[in-house]
Amino acid sequence: MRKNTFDWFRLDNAAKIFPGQNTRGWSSVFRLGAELKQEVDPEILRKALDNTLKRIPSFNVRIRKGAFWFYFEKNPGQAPIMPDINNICYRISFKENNGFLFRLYYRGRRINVDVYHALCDGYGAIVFLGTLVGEYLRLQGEEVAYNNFVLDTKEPPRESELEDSYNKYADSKAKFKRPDKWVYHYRGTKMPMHRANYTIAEMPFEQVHRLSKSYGVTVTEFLAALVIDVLYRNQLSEGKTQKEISAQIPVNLRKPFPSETLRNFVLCLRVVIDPTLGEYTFEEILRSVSLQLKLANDKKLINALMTENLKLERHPVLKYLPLPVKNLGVGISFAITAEQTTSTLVSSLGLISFPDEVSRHIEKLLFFTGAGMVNGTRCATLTFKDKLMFSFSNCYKESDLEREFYTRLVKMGVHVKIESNRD
Amino acid sequence: MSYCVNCGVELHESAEKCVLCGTAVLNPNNVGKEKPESPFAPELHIPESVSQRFVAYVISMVMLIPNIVCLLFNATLFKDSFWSLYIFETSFLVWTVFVFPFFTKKRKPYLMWAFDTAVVLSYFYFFWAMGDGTNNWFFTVALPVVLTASVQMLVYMLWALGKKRHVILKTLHLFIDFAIFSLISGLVISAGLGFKIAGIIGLIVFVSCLCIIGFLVYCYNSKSMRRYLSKRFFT
Repeated sequence: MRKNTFDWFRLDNAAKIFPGQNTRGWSSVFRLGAELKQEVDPEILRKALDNTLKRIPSFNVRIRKGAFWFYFEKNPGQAPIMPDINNICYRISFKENNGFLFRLYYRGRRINVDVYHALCDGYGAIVFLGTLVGEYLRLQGEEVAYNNFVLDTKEPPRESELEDSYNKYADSKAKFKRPDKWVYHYRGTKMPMHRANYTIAEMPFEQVHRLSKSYGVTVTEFLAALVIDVLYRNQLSEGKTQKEISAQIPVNLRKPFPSETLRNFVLCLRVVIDPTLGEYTFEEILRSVSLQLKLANDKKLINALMTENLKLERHPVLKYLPLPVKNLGVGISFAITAEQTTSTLVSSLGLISFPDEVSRHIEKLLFFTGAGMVNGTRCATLTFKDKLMFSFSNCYKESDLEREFYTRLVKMGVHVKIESNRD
Repeated sequence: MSYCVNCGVELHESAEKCVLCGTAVLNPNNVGKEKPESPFAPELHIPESVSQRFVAYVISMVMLIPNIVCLLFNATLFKDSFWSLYIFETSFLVWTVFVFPFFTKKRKPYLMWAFDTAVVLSYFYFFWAMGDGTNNWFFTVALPVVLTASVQMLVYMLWALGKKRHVILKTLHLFIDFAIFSLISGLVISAGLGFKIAGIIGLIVFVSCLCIIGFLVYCYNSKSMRRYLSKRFFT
């Protein structure tokens, strides 16, 4: 390994988009949290964070502007830890927080981390959180074991954990046509700037799993279909022109491709329900979502999409456009397409399995995507031990969609326990 | 354990009402007990945003520099006429309309209207007063045109501000105003200054606006047309 490998590195393909999307009041941020079985000691957490940043250097960075691209540079400062706040996932500024692109919070028994998406995807963040919690417990004198979610901070970082896997694996010759149809958006009364409503539900995994199985689909497919169904019926009740409802479902590309990266390696699949085709029952939506996901989750299709995304980066002329021009282009493109072409996002981290020595000290894990600028519904889910967590991030004041979603689950026999940052 | 009787979901022990529907929660088992801490912190962290006033101040300073330079040049090198005052007056007009509103904390539209009208009138008066005075164009052309626009703006503000109006209705109103203004200004300019072409242009704009007004009236009255446009333009 070269000595200066971690002094600076390029942003990966997905990360290149996020700085261009930043506005005064919004950036792509998500939150992961762990509720321990005992109160968090900030002093120990500080030491644990320092050790974790040495093990995962992709978090120990600040972002800098180059002539053509942004790049990450090793951050010489100390990452702050703060008491938790109510307006979670508010925008990231490159000049605040000592330049760090994540914010670490503690409150009671909880450790929360707000992560700027340019740093990593959900998988990278859960490894960061797992390693941090593992190190915290080790410093408290607990016996800790390690696996792919909880890394040993005494080991040096591996180069493969920092690779840009998009560039490594995208080699498709096929052309991919990106869908650009504008779709339905739930609208309401906008929350003030830097604020949004976050509601998370805790459900017994077994109950949801059994329910999904009874419909012959996976848990992610079931939950995504239920979100789409809620949006679909909401649009019907509005009585306006019926538009398509589309959901973005990010997939972890470490499964089809043998990557160990802790940076971004995720792609969003798109499922669509078109109400102009006729009336849908929930079962029909479920079947459609399940089939579309199975069809889209194809290694060759994903490769074509990845290659398409790398077009700008690999273009012999466009890649040398000055950074401000690229940023402007990304900003305009994001405003026109991006959220306009999706009604919701359902991000699933799947089953998180920490070693028993670590997980026995953790009550539950939490996962929130940052609220959208237009989309009233952005959802995140993960399963830890026997608990399935499902959160809504909503940039509007109204809670109709969350209520409809959770009460539908209650009516289906699922025990739902709710927490929210609403007043 | 507390449940919402309306939604059927279990709520956090600290909740006083259901976060989904707002129904008050009262658990008889918890009466008199200390409520546990909410899982979400109550403290907000709202980042400081760039002050509009500060930006307006910077723009004002930037606008002031060329004016001062022109004034100095006019006073020292090119003394043949008061040309720098024309630049100063034009800058002042631009500043009043585009920059000054950002200095006020709360927008006061009627005050702004009065101020803008006065500044525009004074702008034309200045040009008229600085001229040779042979033509009375300020009173015969500038004053009636500016007052027409000003009165129309006032009527629109009285009609639109504070009331929820359909977007088509608002556009319709603006086109009616524009049609009237183009006709009146065209006639006044052609009569006052003798530019017949101004009257013809005013008439062409007036007729074009009438066509658009007709289309907007149709759109406003036809639900199917509105639906079609909504579909085509994703509104």
